[in-house]
Amino acid sequence: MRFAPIAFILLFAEVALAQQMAAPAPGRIVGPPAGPPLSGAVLEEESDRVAALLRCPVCQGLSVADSPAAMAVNMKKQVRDLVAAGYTEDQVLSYFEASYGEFVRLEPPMRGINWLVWLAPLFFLAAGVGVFARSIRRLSQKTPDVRASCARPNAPSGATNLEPYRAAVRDLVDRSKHDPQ
Amino acid sequence: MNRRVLIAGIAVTVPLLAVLWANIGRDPHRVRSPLVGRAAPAFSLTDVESGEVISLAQLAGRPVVLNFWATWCVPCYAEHRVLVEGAKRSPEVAFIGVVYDDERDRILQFLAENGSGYPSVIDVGGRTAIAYGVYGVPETFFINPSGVITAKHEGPLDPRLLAGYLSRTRG
Repeated sequence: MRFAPIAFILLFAEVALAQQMAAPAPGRIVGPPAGPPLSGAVLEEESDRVAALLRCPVCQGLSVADSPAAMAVNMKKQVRDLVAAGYTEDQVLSYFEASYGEFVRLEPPMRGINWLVWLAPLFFLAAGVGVFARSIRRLSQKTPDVRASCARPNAPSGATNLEPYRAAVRDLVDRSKHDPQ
Repeated sequence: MNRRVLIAGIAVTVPLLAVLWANIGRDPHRVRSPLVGRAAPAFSLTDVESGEVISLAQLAGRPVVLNFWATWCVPCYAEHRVLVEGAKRSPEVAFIGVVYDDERDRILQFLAENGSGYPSVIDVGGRTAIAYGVYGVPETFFINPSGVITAKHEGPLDPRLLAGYLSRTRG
């Protein structure tokens, strides 16, 4: 007799859940729940986290968790019911993906051409760094040449032979002695 | 001009232009439905007027036109007339209107004012809409007698489009 109230509550919950799921049961698409049923604060946290991974089909820049659209509110409720029943994040995302396609995931899954989305920015960053490094290296290689070409082209090599200049100076001094102007 | 810079510039610009060219004229909001060609998701919903339950299983063997609509959707008004006319012309096709995010009183008033040639059912909590990947109203799914979705039309239907879809679905 102790179990009667519990049985009644369970039956009521079962019927309520069945009515909610007048649409196809998710089990047919993703199989039975892979995790334990959740409740309380853990349930709220987990369903918020999973809802934030889904794209609102109406306001397509927002996640289901953030969007005010009626469609998003309904989806959020369904996410909560699925998580409460024990479906994992992967199962919940797969369930919505079956109806809406890959686009409903906010993060493109890493398969096929989606790799381009994930790797292209890294590739361009690496290419940019490579070009930058090359330019720097080329600049520092040029500097000795620049210094060399800035030197006077007609200067005597070694600057040791100053005799012709001394002779020219003496000559000028002598001439100015004889020609005081 | 430095040839390497020119080549790098072309290598970056051409793919971007190719992507732009491929997508010009395409509505960026459109989401391709993965359900076309697959079995239609089951549903079991209550008729708003008669109160009886209508399920997809009951309609097996007939082509089905499943139209998602709402009383607050302006294009649905004109479309409703097209569908009522279509239902009259093709009695072997099952027309079902699934009302999304609406109230029973408003639906009954709408049907009283605009005529009702086929059953309209209420989608509780939007679950059926989610199962069908609906993201706006009106959207219409065409299901063949074997239960496979042959086409999905987003936006209101006109008589020509409806006739085209029906001839392909009966197939």
